[in-house]
Amino acid sequence: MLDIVEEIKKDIKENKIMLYIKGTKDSPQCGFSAAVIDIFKFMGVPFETRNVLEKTELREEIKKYTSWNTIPQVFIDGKFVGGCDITRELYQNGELQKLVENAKQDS
Amino acid sequence: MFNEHFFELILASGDVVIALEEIKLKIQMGLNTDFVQVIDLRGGDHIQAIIVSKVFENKSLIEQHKMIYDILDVEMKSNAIHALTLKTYSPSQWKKMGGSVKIGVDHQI
Repeated sequence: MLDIVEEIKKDIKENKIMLYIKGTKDSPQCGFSAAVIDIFKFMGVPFETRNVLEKTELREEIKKYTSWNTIPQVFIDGKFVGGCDITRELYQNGELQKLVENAKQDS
Repeated sequence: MFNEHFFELILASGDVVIALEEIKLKIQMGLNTDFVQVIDLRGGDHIQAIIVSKVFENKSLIEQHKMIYDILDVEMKSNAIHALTLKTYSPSQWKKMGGSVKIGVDHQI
């Protein structure tokens, strides 16, 4: 079994948009997680998710990895973008679209 | 020391939440702020805080939000604050916004 941190590194490297959330894409268990899913669904871009409720170690490790204590956590192109509030704000001011666009061009 | 003076509200459900004024005070004591507004969005455990501070100037949103999370670390971990929606601005950004923001959680975009 992969070490959790290695798993995180692999996930954020292999997926241009990677979300750590409570619940799943189609059945989020928290309003904040639902909000970030909605944003990326609305943008119509592919993204992957991991459910931290399924794995306590992942929930703890991801918080340590980013020094960020809340879920959801959004990664674009391997970089930590923020939680729900920041993602929403970046979407509203157009910055998120730029990040996603740049990430696409890199591939 | 500070925690001793915290007011706690006990909801009908038995959950303990802290008073909005106390959260505001704690932020003001932890940070040099120009403006702080703390609003209850839903039954006391889901709050929104709007904070304007010079220290946010030239800092990323992650850094700005982290400062506030650090100040409210105990309350977040104890679940006294279950959910916190943050809006942080430097004075120049705040001025650009016209000194106000839309209040409320909008899960719609």
